[in-house]
Amino acid sequence: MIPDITLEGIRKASHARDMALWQRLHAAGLVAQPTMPEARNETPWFLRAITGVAAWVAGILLLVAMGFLLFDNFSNMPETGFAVIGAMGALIAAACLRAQLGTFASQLLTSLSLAGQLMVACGLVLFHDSSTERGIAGGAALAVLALVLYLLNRVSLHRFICGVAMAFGLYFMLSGNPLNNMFSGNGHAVVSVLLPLVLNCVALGLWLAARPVGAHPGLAPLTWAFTLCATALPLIGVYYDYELVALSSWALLVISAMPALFAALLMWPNRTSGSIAMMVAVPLVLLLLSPFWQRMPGIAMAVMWMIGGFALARPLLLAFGMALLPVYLLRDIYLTDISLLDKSIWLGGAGVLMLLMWGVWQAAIGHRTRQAVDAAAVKESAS
Amino acid sequence: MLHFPLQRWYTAATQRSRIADWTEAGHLTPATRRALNARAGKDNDPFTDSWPTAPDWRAALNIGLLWLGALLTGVAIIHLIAANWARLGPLLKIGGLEVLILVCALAAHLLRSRPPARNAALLTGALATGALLALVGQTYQTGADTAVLFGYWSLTMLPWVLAGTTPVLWMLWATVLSFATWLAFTTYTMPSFVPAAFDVFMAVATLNLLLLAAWEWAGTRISWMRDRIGPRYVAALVIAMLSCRAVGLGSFWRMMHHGLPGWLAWAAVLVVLGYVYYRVRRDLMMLALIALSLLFVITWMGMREMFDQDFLFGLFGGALLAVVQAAIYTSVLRKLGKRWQS
Repeated sequence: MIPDITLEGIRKASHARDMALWQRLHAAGLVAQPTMPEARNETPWFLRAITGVAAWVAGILLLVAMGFLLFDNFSNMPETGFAVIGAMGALIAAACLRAQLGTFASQLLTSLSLAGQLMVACGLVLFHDSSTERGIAGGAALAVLALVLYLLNRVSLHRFICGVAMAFGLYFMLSGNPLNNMFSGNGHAVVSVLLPLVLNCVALGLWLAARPVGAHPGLAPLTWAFTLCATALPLIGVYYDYELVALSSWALLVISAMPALFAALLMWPNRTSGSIAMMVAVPLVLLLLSPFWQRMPGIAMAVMWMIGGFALARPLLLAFGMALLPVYLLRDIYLTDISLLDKSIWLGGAGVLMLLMWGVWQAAIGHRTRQAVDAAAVKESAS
Repeated sequence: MLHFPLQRWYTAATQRSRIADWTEAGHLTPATRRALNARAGKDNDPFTDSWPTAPDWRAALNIGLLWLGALLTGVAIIHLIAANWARLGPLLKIGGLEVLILVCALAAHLLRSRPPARNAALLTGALATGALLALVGQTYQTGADTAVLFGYWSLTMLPWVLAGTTPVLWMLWATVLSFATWLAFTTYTMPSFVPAAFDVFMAVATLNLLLLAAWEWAGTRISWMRDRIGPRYVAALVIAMLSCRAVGLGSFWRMMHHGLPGWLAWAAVLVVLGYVYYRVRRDLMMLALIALSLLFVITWMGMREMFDQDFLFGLFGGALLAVVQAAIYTSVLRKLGKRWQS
């Protein structure tokens, strides 16, 4: 039978599955009411999309108007004043988001909160020349503001934006003003060594914290924000600098081993339900492969999110990892830190080793099956 | 029901996320959630065992090693070819693509009992014919324009599209034909019998309007053409073209040739489409597309009028226009959707 793969068919099938699950939960005495609550918003998604688009357009227009109103006084106003106005706007918007609002109001307030955070980033860091104290103070202020905004309400998109702002605050704290020193000195060391490690570790920690069913739902937007920021670094490709070869190659070594570490950390708490052989085999295979993608950290990250999505039973994270792999491989063609021939050798090495391991494993399974069949046949003929 | 090696894992994962949603909505208490977490059955039931089990891990490792290995090896070969691209002879490049086309045709023939796989093979073949044309043009510098390339591609693609049974192939064909029309109208000077008002936007919109009519007619005859995605895609192209033309032709009050306003074609087509999808064939998403176009064009034109008065007035007025229109359109369409449902 050909499955119904239209959108409507998929929706119906998923609804039927939900109903069956609810009935099982009810039969097990885990939920009180016998009928499943209809959580679906009655408004179709494309109407909500129109409302959202209009809200963002209105928010951006208001922001530009606000900017022009302020610009008249800008030469008199210190940048800190600009930042204070932005922070106040963002705080008011985030506080208003606490109310139960429709699509339009919540999107408009989210865009205003984003505008406020941008004003803070510009006023405290981006409008200045690079100075370490400025970077640390401004970055810390932005991160704290984003944290407060995050805690003020429960709107997912707003929280995601605040999570990205926190990552940027962290970046400013570590490297100062990125407009001046992204590709030189301190800024480069941070982007190629410190930031990937920090962002990856925070993202991994957040994913591990969200393991039990329904644990810390409020952390989900922050987790995704850090996951995307960590993933963006290898895609930007600012990983190499000849003065920093020793440091960045050490960082790349750690990142290439991260899939193995993540797999081990994820499998250990469930060792009772899984098999010991798999718990050793999966991290070991990943560790064996890590030298091959050491110069291409995007592949390590794609594999890491795939493993994480699978072990954490999160299909979205798995799909993210699967989508990241071709995107990074396409981007990788244009990254010029190693030659095409070298890339071909490392990629081919990883691919051939994987196929080899797969082949040996399948052969072993086949051999064992044949042995079992033979033993059964011998037993049968003897009896 | 679709079956694949990680079926049990996928069921368990979707159940987990559903349970998480219900917990957040307050239907499950933390105590019952803990009870669910503590259950680790050995009976392979996704309901009691929500984490990947040993067979799941084996299946994942099996699939992962095989497919990732194949993908990385394939990409390595592409890199190897790319590294020596200039040194490869034209015969090897063109011959390689021809072999790919042949393999696609063979696969489509062999897979005729499995429509999704067959359509995928046909799609790859249709794309490869375009790549072949581009490669021939690049290698021998035929001097043909890009418009001609896309025109020929839409012709060479047609057999593949006709052999398929999916709207995706027809959507690709409509895109290529539209692009060829676009390039032809922007590259060549049109003969004198084509009126000046019939510009590139009008040409692409007219083409897609004809395709839309044909698609709606075909949808009543052929079962796999009934999916709404195709007509919606073609209609979106029509509306996008005419909206761009309406805002591109300048002020609301400016008249075109023969004293007709520039936005007349846009307005006329919106009225016709609105009538058809409101009366003849009920389709809320089409009406939403029309609403989006109205929102875009009216906000844009209104802002331009207001900018002429004052810059800040334009910004605030534009925000207000967007807000008010979105509120009106969505509330009308929401009510209409409810009325159609009941």
